[in-house]
Formats: sequence, structure tokens, C-alpha cells
Amino acid sequence: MNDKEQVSLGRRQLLKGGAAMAVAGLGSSVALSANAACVPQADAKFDEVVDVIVVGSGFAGMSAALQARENGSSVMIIDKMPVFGGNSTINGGAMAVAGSPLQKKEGIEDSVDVMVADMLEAGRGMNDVEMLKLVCNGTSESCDWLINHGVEWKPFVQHFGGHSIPRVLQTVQSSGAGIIRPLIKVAKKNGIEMRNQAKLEGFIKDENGRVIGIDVRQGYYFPKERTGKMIKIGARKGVIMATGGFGNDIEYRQMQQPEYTNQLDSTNHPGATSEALKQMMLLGANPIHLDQIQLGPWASPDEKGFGTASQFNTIATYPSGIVVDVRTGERFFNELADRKARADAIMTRRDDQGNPVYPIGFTNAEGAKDAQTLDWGLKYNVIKKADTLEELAKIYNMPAKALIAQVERWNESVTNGNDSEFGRPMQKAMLLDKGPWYGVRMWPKVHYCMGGVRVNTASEVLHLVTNKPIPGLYAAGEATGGIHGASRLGACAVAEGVVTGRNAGRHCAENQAVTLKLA
Amino acid sequence: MLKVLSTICMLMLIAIPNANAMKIKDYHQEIMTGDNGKVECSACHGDAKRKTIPEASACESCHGSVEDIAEQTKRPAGAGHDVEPNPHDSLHYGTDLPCTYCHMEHKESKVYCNQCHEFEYPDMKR
Repeated sequence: MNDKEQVSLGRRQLLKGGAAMAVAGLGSSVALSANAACVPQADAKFDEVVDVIVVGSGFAGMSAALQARENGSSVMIIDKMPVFGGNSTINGGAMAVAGSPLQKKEGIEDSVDVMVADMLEAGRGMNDVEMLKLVCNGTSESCDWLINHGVEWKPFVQHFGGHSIPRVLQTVQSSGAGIIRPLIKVAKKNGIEMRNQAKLEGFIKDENGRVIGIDVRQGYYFPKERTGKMIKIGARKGVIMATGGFGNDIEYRQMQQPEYTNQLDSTNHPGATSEALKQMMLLGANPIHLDQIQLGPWASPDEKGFGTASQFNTIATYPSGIVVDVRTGERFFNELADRKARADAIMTRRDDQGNPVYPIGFTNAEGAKDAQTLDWGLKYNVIKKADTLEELAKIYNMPAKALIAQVERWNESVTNGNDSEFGRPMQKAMLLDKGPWYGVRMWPKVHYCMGGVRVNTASEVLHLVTNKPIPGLYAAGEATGGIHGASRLGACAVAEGVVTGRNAGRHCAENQAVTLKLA
Repeated sequence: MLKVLSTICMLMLIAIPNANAMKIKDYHQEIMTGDNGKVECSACHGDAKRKTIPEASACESCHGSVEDIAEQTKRPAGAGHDVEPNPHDSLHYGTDLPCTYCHMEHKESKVYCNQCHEFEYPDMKR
């Protein structure tokens, strides 16, 4: 026997021993989801019991779990996906904060009222004002809370579209992972049970209609519906739904917006689907604004999902460059308008057959200096570099003369501090006077669901008929509806997730505990 | 006659999943074949029924912990954008992603990150 064979044999023996540990649960083939939500189980026996169950592990879920734990409850987080963080760990990690120390450092005056006014304007007045105020009022304190939990912000404040002033902080990683990963670390340290591949299949209620637990498919392998095995987990104080939106549930989103077909890409992770929302509705939750689905106006058709361009456009093109129609070389909208206005404007660019004519956003090296995804975008050919405007025009087949004339008009506006063409806020506008230039093709993608279940300021889910709280059921973050009205402003989902998540965690932890039996 | 035919059909039905299960990656061929020359399903699946997706601990018994794996595919210090990110210790997911979402034994492996990204991992055995 040679050495290699000996190694192999040894390894295999080891493997055989190890395999005993790997016994996975038998897959249950019973799907409960269609009716389990409404079955009261007076004498339910549970496989496990905790004080607070949090469903979902994004900004809202992690914040809710940590806050409930800090308020003395035992907490379990479940997530149906193989990984934690949902959309929160794959986004730009930008948070709008009213009255941050960084704003003060830059001499920017801000207040909760101004932030509320900005969000109401973008929301076209459809917002749930009480919840909106709760979010804006909590941003400053929650920003400190995040810092105390290991989040690091870039040392400058940014101006995102639709905000009247710069108030956006962003993690040094340029990703929500810069919030989610530190929160997971603290959660594990603080004894929060974190379980991936665990999918909510239905709610368990007691004889009084209070939610006391959930049916969970444990060992679930997304998206294979029959994997894993069913268990019951009890929640003495309540269940917090931090289950996000349904931006990647093409069938359900098309029921709300028939034009949002599979031809429209999404920035969302594949698990951003509607089944948790539907389970809440089966319990009597009141769905609000489900047809208000946001398109991200900074995405590129030349890559999948959020990609490299979304970040590049958010931090570079929109505040420091311009966007032009490829056929005319001319601007056609205010690049710092809210997301709805920008996405609507871009989607008017079509040919005679209705096919997209992708506009070009561009800035120069100075405008792109903070864009961490620039090099990745260049590598994957999503962002293109040109030394001169003539060259940029050539790359994208634009009329060079008209493009150069447009840049000159823009520079006059910057010098005058007034965008006479489209009324763009000019606080951070800069002269586009020298190359090299960086350009990107643009087309919106499905990004965020403004709609969701209706909650009160204690984050309790309200019943459709009585408008009273469904006992034991809380919701936070994108899973809730109404806070943003018709259009969410950029960086306000992190604000919403963290503030409402903590609010839900605090209130759920204060709820009177019921006694539950283990099986 | 009918009985014979249906028995043959039954046998074929039973034989097909077995034939699939036999299809394993060449680099695992030697280590996962038992002394009788047959693939040892239990090596990964334990006592669980066929088609149950193995847990990461099955992989770890040979390949080491997720931290060991992450160390093996670490990017060199100061690596630029021409070096792809470490797939086993990601910015977004750390070391949380179970092995089986990328590495498939009975079909072609895929890169979970590439639901959004375009990473090239030429050394990954598909």
C-alpha cells in the first residue's frame, strides 16, 4: 500500500465516523402553509420555547432581536435562507440620519421635521405619518446604537436623491454587510440563537387568539419546498415578523403591478418573496399599499441585480455627474429627484417599438473618487472609461457636439449655483471640466416594497377588521406598509429597519409572557 | 406476462435513482468507494434517506472546518481587483453559507455569489 492509499483509507474511516453526525432529519412531505395560520391549538406542545421569535435577519430582524435580548428576553432568530441578512447584507449600507455629528461637522443644519417633510414629499402624502415620525425621531439615537454595536461609518455625509440636504451616512464597506455582520457577531455573543435554513410555515395561536408560536420547516433548502422537517417553536412573549418585501416574487408583484414582469430585473435576493406576508394576512393582518413597489433608478442593464453600477451611480454619477439621453446627448431630468421621479423619467426613454433606449450616466475621476465599486465595474465592463468627452460619445454612440454643449451648460449651472434646466439641488454639485470620464448605461430594477402589513407605534400588527393589535404579533421593517407612502427615499430603509426593529424588540420584550409546554 | 413486465418496470424505476446517485465527482471517486467497489452513500448522507441534502458537517469531516477552508482560499495581502474575493469568507455572509449551496456532488456545482456577481473561480471543480 502506498502513502496515498493509506491517506485515503484513513480519511475514509474518518469520514465514515463523521457521517454519523451528519444524519439529517427526514423530509416531511406535508405542506401546512395554506391553512395552518388560523388553527388555534389550545394545548400546543412545542419542540422548543423562547420568549421572542424573530422571523428574518435583516436590519429589522437583527435590531429587533438584539433589542429584545438587551431588554432581558431569550431570543431566537430564524431565516429561511442559507445565509443571514436577506437584502440588508447585499445593499449599499446607507442610513439617513437627522442631526448626525457628521452633519454638524460639515455645517449642515438638519432636524427630524425636515426629514419628515422630505419623506412626505417623496411619499406623495400617502405616508403613515405617526410611523414616519417614529422612524425619523429614532435615527440619531439608533445611529449611536449601531456605532456601539460595531458599525463604522465613512467620515463624510452624502446627498441622496429626494433629500433636501445631505444627511446620508454609509458604512465603510459600502454595504449593509457593514451593519449586519457586526450585529450577528453581537447577537451570537449575547446568546441569541440564530438559525438559518428555517422557514416559517404558519402561526400557532392559543384559545384567546394570541400568537404563541410558529410552525417551522427546519433544515429547509431554499427553494425546495419539501426539504427539512416540521417543528413547533413557542414564543412566550411574541413573534416579530421582520420578513422583508416581495420584490423578487414575480408572480405576486405582477398581481400588484402587471407591468413588473420577469423582463424587469430586481436588486433583491432570491428569498424576497411573499409567503410570510400571506401568512400574516391569513391571521387577519391589514395589507397596506401593496402595489407601491419601488424601482431603483441607479441600476444598470449590463449586470445582474444591484451590481456595481448602483453604488457607482449613487455615490458618483447622481450627486457629481449627469445623465443624458443617448440619442440627444442631453439631460432630461433632475438627477437628485426622488427615486420614483427618476425611475419614471428613465423609463420614458424608449424607441418606436417601446424598447428601452438606455440613458448614459457619467462623471469624471474627481466625481468618482469615493466610488469603491468603480474598479469592479470597469473589470466587468459595466462602467466604461473615456479620456475625452468625444471618446465617451463614441463609446455610447452619442452626438459629441451636443454632449459637449450639454456639459458646458451644466458647468454654467454649477457656477451659478442654480440648475436652470431641471431644478436640481446644487449643494454638492461640481464642475465637469476635465476627464477621464466614467460612463454607465442605466435602467431601473425592482428594489423595495413600500407596502406591507399595517402596524401601530408599538409595532403591533393591526387586525384588518377591528384595527386592534393581533396579540403576540409584531412586525418591523420592509414587512410593514405605509411609512414611505408612494416612494421611499434612499437610505431610509436602513433607518426604518433599525428604528422599527428596535421598537418591536422593546415592545415585544415588555409583553406579558404566557406559559408554554414543551413536547 | 403482465406481471413480468410490471416487475421489470419496477426494477427499472428502482435502478434509475441508484444510477444517478452513482454519478459522483471524479476527485471523490476513490475516497467514496467502499471495499465492495460501490459508492458509499452513507459517507455523506449518513443514515438519512436518499436525496436528503447533507449537512456541512459531512464535508467538514474530511475538508476541515469552515475557517480552515476560508484560510485556504484567502486572498493575498494587498490583492487588487484582479483577484476575486474569497468565496469562503464573504463580505456579505462571512463563513455562514453551507457548502451544499455551491458544491453539488451529483450535478454541476455553481457559485452562489453569482446570483448577483460575475466572479470567476477557474480552480473550482464544477
